[in-house]
Amino acid sequence: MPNQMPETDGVGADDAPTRAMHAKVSAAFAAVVECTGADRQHITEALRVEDPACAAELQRWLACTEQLGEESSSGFLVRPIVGLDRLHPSAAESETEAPQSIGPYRIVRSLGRGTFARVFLGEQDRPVRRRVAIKLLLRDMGASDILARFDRERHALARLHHACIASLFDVGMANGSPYFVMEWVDGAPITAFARERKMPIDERLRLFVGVCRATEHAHERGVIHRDLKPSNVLAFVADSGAAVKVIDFGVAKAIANHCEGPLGHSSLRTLAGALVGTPPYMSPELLDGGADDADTRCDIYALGALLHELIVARPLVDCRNGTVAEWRKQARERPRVHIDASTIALGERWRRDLEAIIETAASPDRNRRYRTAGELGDELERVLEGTPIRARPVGFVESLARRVRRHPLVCGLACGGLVAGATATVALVLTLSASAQNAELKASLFRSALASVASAESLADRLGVDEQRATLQRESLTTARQLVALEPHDRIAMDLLARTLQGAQEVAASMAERSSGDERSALREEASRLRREHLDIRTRIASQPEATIADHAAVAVAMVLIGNEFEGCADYDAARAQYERALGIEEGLLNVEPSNPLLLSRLCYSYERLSVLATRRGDSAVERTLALRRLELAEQLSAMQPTERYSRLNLAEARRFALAFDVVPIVGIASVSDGDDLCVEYLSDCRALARDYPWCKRSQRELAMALGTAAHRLADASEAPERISLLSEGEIVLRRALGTTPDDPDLIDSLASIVSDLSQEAEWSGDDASALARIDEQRALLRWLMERRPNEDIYAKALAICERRHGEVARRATAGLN
Amino acid sequence: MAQRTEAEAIIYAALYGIAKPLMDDERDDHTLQTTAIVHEAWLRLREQPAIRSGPSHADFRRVAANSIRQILVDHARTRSRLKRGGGWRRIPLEQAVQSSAERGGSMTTVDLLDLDSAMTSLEARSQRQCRVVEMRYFAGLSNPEIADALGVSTKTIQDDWNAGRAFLLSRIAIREPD
Repeated sequence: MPNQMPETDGVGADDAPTRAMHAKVSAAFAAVVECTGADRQHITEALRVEDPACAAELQRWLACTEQLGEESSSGFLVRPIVGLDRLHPSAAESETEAPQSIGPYRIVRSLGRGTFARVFLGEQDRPVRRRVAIKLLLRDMGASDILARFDRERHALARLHHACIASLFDVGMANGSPYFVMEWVDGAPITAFARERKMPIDERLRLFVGVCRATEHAHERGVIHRDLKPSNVLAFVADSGAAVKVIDFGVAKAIANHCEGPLGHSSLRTLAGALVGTPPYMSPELLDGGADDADTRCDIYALGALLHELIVARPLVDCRNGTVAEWRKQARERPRVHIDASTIALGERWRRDLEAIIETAASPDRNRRYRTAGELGDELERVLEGTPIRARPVGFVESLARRVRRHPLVCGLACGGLVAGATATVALVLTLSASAQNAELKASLFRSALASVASAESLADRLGVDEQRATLQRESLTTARQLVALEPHDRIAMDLLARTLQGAQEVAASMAERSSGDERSALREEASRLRREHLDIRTRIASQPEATIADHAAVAVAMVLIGNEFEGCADYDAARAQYERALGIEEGLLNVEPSNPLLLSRLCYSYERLSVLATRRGDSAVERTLALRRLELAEQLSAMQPTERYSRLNLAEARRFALAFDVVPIVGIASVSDGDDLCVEYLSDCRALARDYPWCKRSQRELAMALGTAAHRLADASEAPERISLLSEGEIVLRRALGTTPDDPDLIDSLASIVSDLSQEAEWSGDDASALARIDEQRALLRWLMERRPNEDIYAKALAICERRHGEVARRATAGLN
Repeated sequence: MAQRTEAEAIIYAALYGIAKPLMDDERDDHTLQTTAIVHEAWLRLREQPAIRSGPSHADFRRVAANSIRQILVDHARTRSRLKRGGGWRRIPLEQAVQSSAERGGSMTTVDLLDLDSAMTSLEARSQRQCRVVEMRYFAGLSNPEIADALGVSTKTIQDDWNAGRAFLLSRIAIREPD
């Protein structure tokens, strides 16, 4: 066996004789490989005479290849470790190998190539003669998977009709690769377009407002772009001047989801995300991969980044070098947006406004961004009109906060300083208002105090320690209240007060959870007061003439918060009254905006709480009506956002509630034919959810409950094995989830119910010993829950049943023994 | 505009494709390790001028293939050390690379460290043969692509491949799977 270790070869690069010999053997080997039998013999013989050493080497090569046998030697090194080619056609391919046609489309020429797709200009004859852009995905891109995902969004995409959105005409398969056919836009990336024409700032902004409107239009219909960047926002010259169109709506997301899906794990998604998205326009949460799902907020971020680049011709975050981790850090901790006056002709006020707008749109914290793309568009229009913008001038604090994120103490001090400054300013404003002179100074001081409180509030929000937050929030609250008292109709001041109140009630409630005795009741009372004040100010905001739908929806949220409080104190009638009021508002708003996903999800929650309360009252007729209406809304939401975790979970929960009454055909809900079908769908969706989000507690719990629900539907005695198998699977799911969060009351609650079912099964099968053990287990779980949720009377009732059953089974077991 | 070129994205994806199966049989936190390998490898690769200039550059494929080989070998070395507290244990890498795929079945396993040593001695004898093996095995390129990158005929590439492979085979231990 020629098992000589290569290290002992001792051949240097300058060993000419060895190289010559190798060349000779190689040549002989090449000749030998091509012939057989006698010829082969002839060649080796000739070599042996001429150069015995070479002949020996050749013999070794031949022996090795032959020894392995034809089959396995051809396997040696044949399958490459990695295929660069599979991910990427050779560079020449796109120019020389453009296909003649793709599906029914004639290919005119290649338009370009990306990592995942090639784009062609195509022509279509029927039904209309037109030019189209065709995006052909590269091989090995998981064609059927992408199309399946895409299919779920197709309905939503079909509803996109906007002058600034390139329409999607068709989707198909050609030689195993999916392709997308889109309206062809003969334009240039918006940034290049503006640069080449040296467009003035106002024209750039007008163009960009179109992009915001297009994105808003899509978001309202449940479509997220997921990859907004200059090359997807094309500008061109139309009859009326410069125009813009966003391309690839729905396409990027279908591909991105595909690339994220199979990996599943959060840190892997980071990696895949880095490949799928375009780093400078990716929000920190996308770069993290920790975000549940891409949502509208990542598009808002991308718009902010794009706006930045459109104005200063430089990306917001420099991703030319470094790693994903470094970009993520940069995106989170980037310095305050600064527009250099030398890059573009821009007045001081515009510069400040635009900096604030970009800062808000591309905030690292997605909750601080504009809520909708429309709001961003409105802001830009305000800049163009010369009216004050809404973006809070918190740039400085934001950037401070980013730098001190890991130093809560510094953050606390900064926050305290800001509040102190604001308090002083307010005092000054109060003095001035007494003299009622110098209105301009007063207004400017007012703004500055407002900004300080806003900054303090935003910093307080980042503090991890509740006590610290609470102290600062109390001070901010006092100042915010004074500001509102000074200017009772100032929209920004009221907004600020409402936001501070909402944060403060949350902190007070969370502190109450962790305290006891008098302190606990005091904190609860404080939270309760804050919630009422919160509702009050939200109501005032909503009564302003320029109030938006979001303002009205916020009133409903304030009511729901109070409802939660009553529900926690077991005052169910009062809770019901709050939820019903909230529901009334939300239903009214839904009439105005029937496909607003945010409204739909809020409504689902209100219906859920109300149906739970009906269950408590034993009012099953009402419960049923509410549960079915919720199911209907959940189906709507899920049709709009089929891949969002929230809407998937919401639909699963709605199905669980509906399944509580063996649902017979329901008018208006096409997909539900009867309870069994619904249950099958419910279970299979839950399996998918639990698989897609292994870290999500609610998804795991929902799967366990789906398994329990499925078991309940198998009523026949002969179906016991299937029931037990479903229940046991549920138990495993819950115990695994409890492995990471052992103290979770929701999980324990579900576990208690599955354990109870299993004890029943054991009893039915005559296995009293197991039944007793299970009942004991359930008893322990219920006692734990009672301690944890003292206001919940269900546990006491369940425990009573549990004790009774324990007695019965134990008696029977003893009797059996005797 | 992002200077993170398409070429970079491709190699990054390719690296990820290598690292992921490598780690599949390892501990639970393998995802972190995968990420670490890819990042480290990526940082080194990026320094290569040919990689920077993109896939149209003639050297791109050669450099990429060579880099991938280096990365894998380094990784195999580190891993060998880690496994036995500084000791030296050979890991049948080809098996590791392929085990997670559907390829299964009876398969000849090649120790990557052996292969690497053998390739070093092949390189001393014929650089071109070594490059051909590298590009075919480590980057999965076809003969015409390699011919294009090295500026020789495909017939030459096939001959180089046959000879290089026979030489390597004669220098390394071939084991049946355990």
